[in-house]
Amino acid sequence: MIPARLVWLYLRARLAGLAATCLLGVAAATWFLLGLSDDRLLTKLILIVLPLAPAAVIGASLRSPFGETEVTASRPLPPLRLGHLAGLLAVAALALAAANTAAPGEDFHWLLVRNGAGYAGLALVGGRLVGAAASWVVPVAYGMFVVVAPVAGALNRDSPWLWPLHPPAERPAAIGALALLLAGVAVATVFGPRAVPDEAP
Amino acid sequence: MGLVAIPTHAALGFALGRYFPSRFTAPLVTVALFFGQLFVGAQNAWYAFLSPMVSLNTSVWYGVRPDLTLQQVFFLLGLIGLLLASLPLRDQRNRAAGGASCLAAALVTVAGVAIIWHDAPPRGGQDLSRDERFRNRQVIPYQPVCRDAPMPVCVHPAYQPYLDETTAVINRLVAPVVGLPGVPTRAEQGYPAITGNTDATTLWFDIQPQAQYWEQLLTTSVLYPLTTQVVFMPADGNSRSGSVRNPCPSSNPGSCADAQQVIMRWLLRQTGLADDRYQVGPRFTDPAYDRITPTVERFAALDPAQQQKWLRAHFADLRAGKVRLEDLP
Repeated sequence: MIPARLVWLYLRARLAGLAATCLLGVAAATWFLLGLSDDRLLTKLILIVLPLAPAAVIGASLRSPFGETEVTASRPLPPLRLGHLAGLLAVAALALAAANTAAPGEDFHWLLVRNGAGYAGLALVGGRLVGAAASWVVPVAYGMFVVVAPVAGALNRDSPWLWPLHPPAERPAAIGALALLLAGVAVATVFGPRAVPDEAP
Repeated sequence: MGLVAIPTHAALGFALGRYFPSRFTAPLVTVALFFGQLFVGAQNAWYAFLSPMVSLNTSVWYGVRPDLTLQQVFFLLGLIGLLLASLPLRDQRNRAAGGASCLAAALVTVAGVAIIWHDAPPRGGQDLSRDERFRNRQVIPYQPVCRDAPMPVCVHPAYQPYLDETTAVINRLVAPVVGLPGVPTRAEQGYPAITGNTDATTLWFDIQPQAQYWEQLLTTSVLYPLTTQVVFMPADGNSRSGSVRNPCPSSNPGSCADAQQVIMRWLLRQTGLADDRYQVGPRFTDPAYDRITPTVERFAALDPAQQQKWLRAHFADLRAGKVRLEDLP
């Protein structure tokens, strides 16, 4: 059994409360913009780009100011990491699902949640590759690629590499997003973020 | 403008990072800026020009329209100044100097916004109306590049890479009729409103290259307009729509003489590109298409010498719409 104080300190070190507040704020902004948009293209743009923000927040919240000290603790970290991520992902999923209701139409159902899940997986993998502080660069760079590639003629919109553009009913896109999320959670739980020296609070 | 937008975004991120130091500031500002410039740039309003991602109307003939680059750069530089000048405001000792710098930069930014508001078309760049598009606009002077062939072909120098292929395809198309009375003697990219050339000896076409659709575009923007000009009548001298206007006497292609359509489809087949149903366009899916198909096949099966003989004797009448379907061999 993990002591409640340890859980509390672990979450506090990762600014979990602020991260959850950011997630709710981003979801509220997304809901507001979706309600404001009466243009189909703009709605799609919101559903593709704005889930990057919760993913970036989750990635950035991986960072701990204690680094090696924490790794040497007698308690195993994976259960704490898993609980922390599960909590943030649950908050993000519920908030994005609620925000998605502002985009009416079969073509938009669950797109925020699906895309957010895939991007979050990328952010978690990014945390292992480049460190938590810069983990958000991976999903944001990918999101920019998704927006720009079809316009530049580099890839067709139907390409599996551009799964965030695919309609919600398309199963391969949903499976891809889920696979990315599971891979990210597994990597972040087992290995944690890469330790890099930085001074950000 | 994109080059100036990068330091502007960096300045904004830096300033916000100073005011709200947190691990979440950088990612949230990045996503917000990325989305914000897409969102603003997609609006059909003057303020779309505050974003570097605004849609612009571009062409080799008229350049970038509306060209507000200087105004946009002015606005962005003002914004950089404003953001950086705001940083000393946090420090009590520098507050006076920071305030003065901030005020100066704010004036530049507001002036930039005001100039953009004044100069930008009200509905943004992509949505320029026909009048706005052509008002007070001079064609950028250019010297066409040409390729010699039985039917010489000229294009804008920007399209020189497409000249050889275009010349080959056009000459395959017109080979059976080149030299016949009334048939134009050269083909040029553009349209009379651009070149100022309204003589009937020139065929007009446009090229809209997009790599993956090159063959389709060649068909729709080059071959179809050319074939209609060859078979029906010369291009309309007043056309300035970017691609040559369909000179068919009526908007309903079925109203054009069936015999003309037969020869048109037969000519299109000479290019060997796509099947002629696609080449003459989806609008030609009317009953006339199936009605004339046997005649197209019959004419195509003739000996080339017989085809030439018939064309020499009847092409002028065919262009004038005086040949009936049953008159074709």
